[in-house]
Amino acid sequence: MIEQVPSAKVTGLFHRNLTGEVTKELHKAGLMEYYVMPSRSVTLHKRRAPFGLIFEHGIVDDPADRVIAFVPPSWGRSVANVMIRGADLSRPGRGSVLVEQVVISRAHELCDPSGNVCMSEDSFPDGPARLRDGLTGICCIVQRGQGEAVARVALETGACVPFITFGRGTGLRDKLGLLRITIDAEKEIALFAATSYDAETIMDIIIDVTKLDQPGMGFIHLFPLEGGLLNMKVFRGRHQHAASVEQIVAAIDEMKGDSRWRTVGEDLQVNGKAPRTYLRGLQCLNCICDEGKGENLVNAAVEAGAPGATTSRMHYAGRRRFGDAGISPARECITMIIQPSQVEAITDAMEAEGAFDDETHGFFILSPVTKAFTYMGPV
Amino acid sequence: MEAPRQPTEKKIHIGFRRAMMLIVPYVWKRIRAQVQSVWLIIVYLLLFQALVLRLAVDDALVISAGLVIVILGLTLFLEGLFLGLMSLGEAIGLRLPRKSGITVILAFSFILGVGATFAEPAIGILRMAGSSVLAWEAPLLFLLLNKHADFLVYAVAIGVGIAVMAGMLRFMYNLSLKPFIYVLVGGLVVLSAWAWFDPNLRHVTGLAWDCGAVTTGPVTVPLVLALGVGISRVVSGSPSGGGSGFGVVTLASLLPILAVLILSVFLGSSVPQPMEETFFFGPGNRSSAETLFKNRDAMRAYAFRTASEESQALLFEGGREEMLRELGRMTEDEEARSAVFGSDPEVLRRWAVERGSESQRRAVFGTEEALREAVNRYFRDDVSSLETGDLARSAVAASARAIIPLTIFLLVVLVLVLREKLPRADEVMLGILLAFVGMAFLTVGIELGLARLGNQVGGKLPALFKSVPLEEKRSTVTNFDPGTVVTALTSEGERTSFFFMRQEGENVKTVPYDPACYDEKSGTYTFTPLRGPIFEGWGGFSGILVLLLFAFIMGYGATLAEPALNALAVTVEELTVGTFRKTTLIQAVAVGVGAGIVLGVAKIIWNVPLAWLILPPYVLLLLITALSSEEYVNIGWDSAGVTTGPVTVPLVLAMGLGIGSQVGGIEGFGILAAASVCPILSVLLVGLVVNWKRRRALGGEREPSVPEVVYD
Repeated sequence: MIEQVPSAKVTGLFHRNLTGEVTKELHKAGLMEYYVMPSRSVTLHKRRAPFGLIFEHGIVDDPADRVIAFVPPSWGRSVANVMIRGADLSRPGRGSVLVEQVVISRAHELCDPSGNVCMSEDSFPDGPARLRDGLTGICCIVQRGQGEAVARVALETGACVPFITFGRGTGLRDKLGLLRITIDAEKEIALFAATSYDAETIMDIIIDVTKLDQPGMGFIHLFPLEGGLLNMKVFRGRHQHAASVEQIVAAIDEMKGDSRWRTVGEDLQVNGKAPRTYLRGLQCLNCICDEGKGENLVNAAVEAGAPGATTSRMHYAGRRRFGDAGISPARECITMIIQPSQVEAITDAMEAEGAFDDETHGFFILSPVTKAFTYMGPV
Repeated sequence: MEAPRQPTEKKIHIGFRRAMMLIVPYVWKRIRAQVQSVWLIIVYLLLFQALVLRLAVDDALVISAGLVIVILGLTLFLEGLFLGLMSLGEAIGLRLPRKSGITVILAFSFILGVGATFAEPAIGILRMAGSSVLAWEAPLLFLLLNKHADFLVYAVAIGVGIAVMAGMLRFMYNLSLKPFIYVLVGGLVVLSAWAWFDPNLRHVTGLAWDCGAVTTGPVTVPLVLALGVGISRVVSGSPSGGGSGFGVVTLASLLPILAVLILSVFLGSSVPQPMEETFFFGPGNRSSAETLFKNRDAMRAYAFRTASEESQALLFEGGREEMLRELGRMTEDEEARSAVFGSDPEVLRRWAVERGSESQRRAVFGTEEALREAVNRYFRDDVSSLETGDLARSAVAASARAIIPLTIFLLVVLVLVLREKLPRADEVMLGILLAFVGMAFLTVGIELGLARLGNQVGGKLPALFKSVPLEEKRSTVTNFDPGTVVTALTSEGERTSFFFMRQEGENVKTVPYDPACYDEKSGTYTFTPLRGPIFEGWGGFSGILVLLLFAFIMGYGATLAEPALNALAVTVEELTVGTFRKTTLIQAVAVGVGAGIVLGVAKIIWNVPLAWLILPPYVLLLLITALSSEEYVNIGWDSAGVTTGPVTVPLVLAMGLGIGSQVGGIEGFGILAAASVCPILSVLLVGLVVNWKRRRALGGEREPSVPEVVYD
């Protein structure tokens, strides 16, 4: 078993057609192990009515993939650059890359990320670091069907193109016995990023739009990013200029060195609402395990005090997957937001449930959560 | 996710009121969804009957009860599919490749495919479609539907078994579906074209293609789909892609066609060619004709029910006299009777009244008085009573057969072979129970409501373009007095005869008098009111246009309510994370089915050969398949298999047979096959458009290329 290994988590969000290119580049660069989560990207488009009237900004969904790689901390930016090159992300509208620093709290031996990069640093494109600083990740878990509302906020505030994956929630539901089937477990998880200046405002708008301050509606949290490249092309459609607005914004970002110049915070202020109590200083515990085992682990975690969890499916692609003892390609990822004080107890409980045996291949990742919000019950 | 809280107790107990607050919205939401999916077809059929055909809906109370039961049945069945059968299928799919070798997987797949076919035998549907097949016109088809119906089921079962095996192999080795389609469809097209030149095989091609459409029922499809999704998640080499997990249904619709065609080629050599009716029953053809029946008595029974009196007499050595003597003997001798007509003497008498010739009637009843009395009796209580109890029992039995053996097999595999616990056991068990109850409700409801309504509308449809007798309004006047007939003159001085009639609770009306309808011996006058043509413009063509439009909307509406399509669409939406929306797929398929049914109806009206209907679309499909992306090929071809389910089939057949009986089509085969080729086309076309848009969006924005300026 592996314990307390710092690591970089590189998340690439690409249009499905580009995934093949990206993984090819990753293989070339020596990175052999990654996870893929099917997702969809959401963009606005001008819906045209007859007589040239535009009446609404419609939403287009595209199939996309979330490619996640865990590498030693110093490799994060390099691997992100490989993804950028592979998917040609310098062109707007193709995808985003996020890099964050995490800690692998415990993991099965086969999940050791330190061996994940087997070539020397030279084989990575160094070039100019194209990643921007000063970004904050936003992850919002809502009821199935509400994802589009969250995505619309991200798009209309000009944050970036959000990516949505499906998940199943567990929490109160599983304590109801068979009555649980009356509560829909299906969730949508929207993941995107914004400049750190705007992230909190966007979070407030999302809370308003999706009524997260009411029971059972969902959960939102912000997490720090080391860097990222965002897909700014929130609009789809023809345009008549030599460069799109998104390209111009990206160019000015690069000249200014950061994106403070386009902070929109003041305009977006939400007023007239009672002050909200946010949750701060929490930890996000991600547990990746073989599919079918997650349910028991979640039950153990909930018994040990976890408030609830969201499970999504992911595909494991890696050189260690073959053979009987290997890791199953069908994996699932459990996400729990918990108090730092609970981490030990919950991980212990899940370990006792067999999280690190040869049929589960558990892989636990801890990452900080700067700010979070959900319904807290009558205060 | 909830906020961090203190550890809570393991289970929350909820009072009755709170539980109801959870259950009521849950149930209501699902019932509403089903109402949304069936309202179109119901309202449409009712309005068409009332406003276009201008006929009252008979048994309106029974039909509306039936429709309510359909909605409940669909709700329960779908919920049961999602909670029980599909979770179970996927759980096995996820574990099977990890825990067992390829031989176990293949054996499991084969048993599953064969078992699913036996559990949901579509032979009843096919028999209904072939109810008007005559032994002498299509001997091989007749043989397959009657004496060797079990061979037909075996052939289909083996076809489905091999298909599930091939589908699983495809997942394990990550093979594309396209080559399978090219080879199978190409082969089938060639084989069908070849069969066209053999008069016996020609009639069977329709049956074979329909077998492919019908075999994949509402239990099999979701189960196989869930299993495929599970297996392909564990074994697939490619990280993602919406198409993974699909394709088994496609193979399970194509391979049975092949199996049935091969079976008919084998049986075809020993079966007489189509021939004239009298020659068929003649003594020279006796031995070869008898191969089509179980024994001589079965052949006689068949002749009595369908053939002319002349042919019937040919079956008795002594000719006509011998036949009449035999009939007379049957009235007393139970043994002789039960071999041909069954032990109930009523059946024989009813047959004599309804189908028997003058002399046959006399042979059965003996005296004029007995005949007159019997005629009065049979025409009075013509309405067959509704056996609700029997219907419910048979529906429960069919539902049990469709669901219970398969679930037990799956549970045994999971627990004994894979040695795994059933995940969320209580939920799965509840789901299986719901599916079972729902299936039984659905069967009863369709029988009472939807099929009854469909039959009423379907039978009258030809009235749109020609005048048809309203058979169920046929009435008989007993003790008719020809003296009441009145003669009237037209403005040209032509004489027409009619008489006045007063039925209970109605005003006096005039009935045209036709001497041929008066039976002097029994003193009865039998008349059938006529209806139509309702649309006479363009020489009746406008009526046909209305009929085709009706067929389109009916196919469209019925497809929206298909449970297997719903299950497929939900799975597709789930696997594509919402990029391929459930409604998009259902709408595309429904439009396709509507178009297919229009083709099928056109076939019946103008008697278009089936080959023209099936082969060109499939050839076209091969081309479009080559152009389409793997994801859409998988989904599109699979949707063909799910379209023809419990809601569509009875409606389509009722319509097809209704029109066929008026315009003289041989059988109702081919509509279902046409209804399953068009949805593939529509889904693939949607796929082509969507993919073209996506590619344009992705590749459209190249960075403006700056021309390189070279300074010398």
